[in-house]
Amino acid sequence: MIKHYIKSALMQAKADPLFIGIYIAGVTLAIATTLAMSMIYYIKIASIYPETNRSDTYYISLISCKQGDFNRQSNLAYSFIKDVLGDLDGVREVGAIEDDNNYHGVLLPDGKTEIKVQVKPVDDGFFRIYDFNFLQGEPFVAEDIDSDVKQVIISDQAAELIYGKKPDNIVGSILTLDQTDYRIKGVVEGASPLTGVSFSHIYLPIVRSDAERNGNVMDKLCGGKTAIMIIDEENVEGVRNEIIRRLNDMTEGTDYEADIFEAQPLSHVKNVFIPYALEFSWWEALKKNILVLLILLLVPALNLGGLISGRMDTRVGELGLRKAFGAEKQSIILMVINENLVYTLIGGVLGLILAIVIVMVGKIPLLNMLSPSFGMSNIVETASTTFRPEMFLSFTVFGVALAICIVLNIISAIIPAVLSVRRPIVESLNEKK
Amino acid sequence: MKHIFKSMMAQRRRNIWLFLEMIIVSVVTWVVIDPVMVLLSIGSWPHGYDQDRLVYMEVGLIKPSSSRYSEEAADSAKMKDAFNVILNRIKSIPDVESVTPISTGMRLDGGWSSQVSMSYTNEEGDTLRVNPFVYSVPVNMDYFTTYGIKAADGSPSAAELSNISMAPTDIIITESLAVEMFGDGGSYIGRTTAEKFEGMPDGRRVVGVVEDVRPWQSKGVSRVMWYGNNYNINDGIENTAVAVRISDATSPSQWIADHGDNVRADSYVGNLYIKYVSTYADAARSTWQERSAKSEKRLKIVLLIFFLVNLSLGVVGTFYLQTRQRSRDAGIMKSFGATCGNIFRNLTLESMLITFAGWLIGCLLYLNYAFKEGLSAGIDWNMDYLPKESWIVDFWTHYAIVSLTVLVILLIIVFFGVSMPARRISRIDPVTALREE
Repeated sequence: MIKHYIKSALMQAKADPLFIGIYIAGVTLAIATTLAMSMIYYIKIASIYPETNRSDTYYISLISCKQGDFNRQSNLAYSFIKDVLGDLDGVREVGAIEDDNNYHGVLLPDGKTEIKVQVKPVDDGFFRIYDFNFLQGEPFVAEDIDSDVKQVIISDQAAELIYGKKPDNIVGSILTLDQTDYRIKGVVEGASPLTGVSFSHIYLPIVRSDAERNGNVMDKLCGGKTAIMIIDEENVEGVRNEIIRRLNDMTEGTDYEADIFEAQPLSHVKNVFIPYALEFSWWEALKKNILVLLILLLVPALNLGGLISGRMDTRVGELGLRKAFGAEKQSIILMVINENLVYTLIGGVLGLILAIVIVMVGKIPLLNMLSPSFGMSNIVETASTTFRPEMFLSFTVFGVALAICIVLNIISAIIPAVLSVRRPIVESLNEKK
Repeated sequence: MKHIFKSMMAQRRRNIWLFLEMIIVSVVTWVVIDPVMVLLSIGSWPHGYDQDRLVYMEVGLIKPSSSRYSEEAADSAKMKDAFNVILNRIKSIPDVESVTPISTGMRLDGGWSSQVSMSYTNEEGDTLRVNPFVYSVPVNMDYFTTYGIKAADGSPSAAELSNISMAPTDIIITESLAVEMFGDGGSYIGRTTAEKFEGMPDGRRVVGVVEDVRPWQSKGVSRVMWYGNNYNINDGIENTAVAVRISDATSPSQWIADHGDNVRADSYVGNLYIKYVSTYADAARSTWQERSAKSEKRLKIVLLIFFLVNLSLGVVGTFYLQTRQRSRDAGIMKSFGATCGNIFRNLTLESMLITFAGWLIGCLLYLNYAFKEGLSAGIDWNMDYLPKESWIVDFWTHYAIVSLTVLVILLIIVFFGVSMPARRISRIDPVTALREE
């Protein structure tokens, strides 16, 4: 039966190549755009090196501190992340990062030229959460954090930018960053800027400010860091309640009040749709995307429906003949849908290729177009966007492509098919072409 | 026209799909074109300062952990001197006309903003409120002259305003803010705002008025106010930058190519240095508001292109399918004396009419939505921040302009889509067509 549909579809294509070309072009465009949108979200959500724990990753980035009428909302202090969040049952791992958008320059070996680099202050937990492959050296340990020792971990991309090639054994070498000398402790296989939270050229150990070391309760809670936590889903509510309890304990007897927002700890998936969300609702997160997706499918479906409807008029005689020989309405409708599915699948394959090209050409601006990406607020121009095969070649992506093809095919073919089989047999047979 | 309507009705089963698609594409085109037009329009308004003649430099502080750090130079007086030395070195570079420090709160690039709610008494004696955006001007540091901001009529000149002595309650305001608060005409110098409270018993006093300045690239805000600031680098070294005015003999990018590396290499004085040099325009475009506006524009344009390509494919396909049927009709018409041109025109007019009908319904549907939610104000919070005389603010003017733009876009796309099959149909040989019949 499938062979018959394919044969029939190919015969029609030979008879009317321009029409089929227009049809396939319409399908390709529709599938390419919806698939590009799906790929963008897949890249942001799926586990991709080094963010291989995304399904269990949660963030706390904002805390609210009140003192009388004075209300402050800010990122977290490292003290809070290390001493409170790091001590919770149900939390498998905790790390800290600081989103640093300031200018940072590294002096090249010529001693004169400085290049702009991405710098990210992190702690030892960061390297336990993210599955970096260390090409040389080793990650930060607890003693490296908040110490006077100046050391950095750099990516292989940064090493290539600075030394002109992937250098051998630079662990222990000195790097001048922002006029300060640092010792290189390790070199990692770099993350892509598409995995924004973990991407950086250079990783510095977090250092607490003087205010945080010596200040009051508010200084030990509020700072500039974001906590990244690995929590099993069933423990999230318990962890949240425990954090609130600890905050109440810390502020008891003072005139401060502190709270984390309703949506936190925020899962990675939720953070993709509404970064830094204080409250989260799936409907609010998805409604814009659903609308865009519907329109991206509906308009081409109308197009294709019109084309198929026009095509059906030339096949009225054939359909009448089939009915005269006993074909049922359902089988004719199914025949039309399946024949069009052949063209839709051809358009689907072309659309998949085009979607990959769109995403590879669009890069960061395209990823940021749909929603601002957490951790990708200001990628420096010296960062090169690398694509990993797992970003595109996955069963999920192929599955989504196939599903879109089938949905589009059904939406566009079903009404014309139903309308065509309604005509009486005699009228169909007498119809002049 | 009668013939065209008859023809449309005869093909209504095929044309209904196109018509429905036209309605949806009209609505979607409205949704995407409205903010794009508003953003493009706002972006084309003058900034009110000479952005294209400015270079931006960020000042860096050498930290104690660096081998270049000097304990002696860390003294606040020495820091001030070091900064002045850097400014003088920059001024001495060829093609530099003037420089001014611009820390956070002084920088006109939208990277930072602060608003104040101010009451004033209008000509009718009513007390109203206005919410201008607030910056500070480093006194005696050539701020207005470096930026190229012009003084309004009746106000001290930009050079005088740059070096005027300002009391804590003195303000310099833009012309549109002056007109809003004090009405059109007359001198604004010496006028005061209505609110009087502790520390400001006489209200804020206007000491200067400048032509409108638009700090953001993509926002229409032009109601701006400046306080005086006795600038001291020690108050915020981490966020200090310098704006450098270049002569019109060269461009900022050329100046950076000629002198940028030397500026950075020779800028180390005490614990200060110039860490970053770019054109002011590039620095202004890298703020998060501008990146957000750019992202918004790009997404809308991509969606627009997608829908218009789909529409064009739909039109080509629909009319192509009618080629056989229409070829017979065309052959008969030709045998009665119609020319290729007549037939081509009839077919294109038919598609234009379908487009027009779809557009009309689409626009009416959008009008319903616009009454409730309003029209686009770009990335401004609402229309209140835009100049009242602009087309964007007047609802019907805005609606008419965008609707007509949507119509023109749709007509162009449909025309190109239908012209190929229409040309093919119009060229049929009448003998061939009649023989088939």
